[in-house]
Amino acid sequence: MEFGVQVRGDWDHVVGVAQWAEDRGLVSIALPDHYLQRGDNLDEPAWDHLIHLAGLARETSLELVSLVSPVTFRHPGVLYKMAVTIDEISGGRFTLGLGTGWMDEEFEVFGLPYPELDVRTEMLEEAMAYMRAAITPGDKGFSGKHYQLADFDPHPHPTNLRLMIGGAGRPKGRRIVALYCDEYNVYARKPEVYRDVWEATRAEAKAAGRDADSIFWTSAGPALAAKKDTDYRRLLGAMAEKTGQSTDKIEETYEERGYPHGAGSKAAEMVAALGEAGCQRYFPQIFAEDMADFDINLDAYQG
Amino acid sequence: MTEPHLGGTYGQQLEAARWAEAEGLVSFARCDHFLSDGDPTPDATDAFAVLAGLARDTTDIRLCVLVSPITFRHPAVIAKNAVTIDQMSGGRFDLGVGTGWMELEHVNLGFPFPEWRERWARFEDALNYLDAAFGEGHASYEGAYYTLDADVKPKPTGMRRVLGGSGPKRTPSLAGEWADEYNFFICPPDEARAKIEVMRAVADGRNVEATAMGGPLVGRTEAEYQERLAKSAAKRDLQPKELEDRYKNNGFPIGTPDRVAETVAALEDAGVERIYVQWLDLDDLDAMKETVDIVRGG
Repeated sequence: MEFGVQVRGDWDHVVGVAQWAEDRGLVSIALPDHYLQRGDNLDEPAWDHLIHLAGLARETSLELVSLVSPVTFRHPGVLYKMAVTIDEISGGRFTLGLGTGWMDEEFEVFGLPYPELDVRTEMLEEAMAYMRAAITPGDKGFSGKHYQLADFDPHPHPTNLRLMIGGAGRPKGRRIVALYCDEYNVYARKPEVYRDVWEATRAEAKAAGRDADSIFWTSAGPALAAKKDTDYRRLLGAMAEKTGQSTDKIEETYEERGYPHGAGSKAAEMVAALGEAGCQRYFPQIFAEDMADFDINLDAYQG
Repeated sequence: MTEPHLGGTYGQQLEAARWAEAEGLVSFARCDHFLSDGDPTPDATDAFAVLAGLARDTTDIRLCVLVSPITFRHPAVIAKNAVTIDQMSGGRFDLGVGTGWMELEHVNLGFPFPEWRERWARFEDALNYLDAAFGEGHASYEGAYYTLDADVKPKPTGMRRVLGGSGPKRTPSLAGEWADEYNFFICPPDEARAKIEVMRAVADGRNVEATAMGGPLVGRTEAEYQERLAKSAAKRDLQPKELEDRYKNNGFPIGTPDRVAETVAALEDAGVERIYVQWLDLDDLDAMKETVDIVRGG
């Protein structure tokens, strides 16, 4: 299993984590795309993750991942241009991830478009089809209900831009991955559920005449792990304080959903089980402020 | 001021920006266009992503998008792009916005391109949205196209707002109301004076910088100038005299250094505080450097 890290915060924090990730031998750094940090806390600052990734291209040699961008934030024409530009300035280290978006509040307070989930899913499929057409030399445009790309060959062509969907592994997401994507990031869940998504998506890719092995499999989940029980209890307590939930409730949710977590060797075992289910790279979402807690979490996930 | 939609890699833009920084220029600006004519279409990069990279690859020079069409991005995205580059550059980012005009890029990439009345309405709406987003306290704005009801954080630290456009009334008025810098295409001094007056009247004592942008055609010697004029005219299927007249009528700095100095002095006298030397050909940075040098009076 390879490891990346997902992080959010101001520029100094993001650069600091990139440096840490390089020192720890991780392969990639991923940033989420939210204009509010949390739906239940409207007060925390938030930045643009694609701008951060463009800057990080000049600061680190890690792979750079957008994990993931809600499709209604930007027109796919803007996504295409930003993605090929970050591809260029990073020398081919960028993965653009798209999803449907889910944090109701950020769309509401900023007045961003946010139709019903089935419409957003339709937009996601069209945006991916548009992106694939835009970055494939000689492709013949795209005409959808939401987005149109004229029949011309836009430049620049990327050197190594990768397209990804991040989501829950629903049938429509699987279909989009099978048709257009290089990578599927299925949010952390129980290994048997991950395996089902893995199998169904591969079957769909084969049915579409595509090499199923060409899809790279990743996952991400909230970081809550430590080798020492005292550290784990402390991190759990901090999370309870931050979210306003009881420690019992948090653990119950993590168990139920299958998020890798826990004390001792438990988190590493859960990640390994995801690996058995097909996952090739795991991104703990480490939203701690203290870099010592980054080490504590990563040590526990790596085992 | 560069136009990388006509072609230009990140590396070329970086070289131009670093040269400008080393020369002590105030600002490196670039347009925000996604396309231009040509087969194949030139390598047009994203302005905000490039300026984000340059924020890390330069240290002192200001970085300006001159200007970003409001038709490409939701104002929430413009605001977040801007404050993020502001922070990454230590407050060196200048955000220029405009109505958008190049139909081709909208049509080909599938951006909505409403007729000008709606573009103007959207533009004014977006300016109000951005004003609320960058301002202190809770941001609340309800427009016909865009609404905002948020504590937008962080706020810009050193970012300046640039409003660009060539119209004689509406653009300078909006700039006087909204911007820290009013930028227009180089024009004869009398026209420049009139536009700046319109802007100043609305600004009502608020400090707004008046700047102009355009592509001079200059040479160290008369012979060098004539050679460039002939080359440039041939590219556009014009006689050199025709092209020269066009430049003259538009009030552009042209000719040998002494002639250029006169034109620049006249613009300065009309109230222009900064000239952005527009440069189209990033494959020829030597000529760019010489042109900037001559316009600066070097």
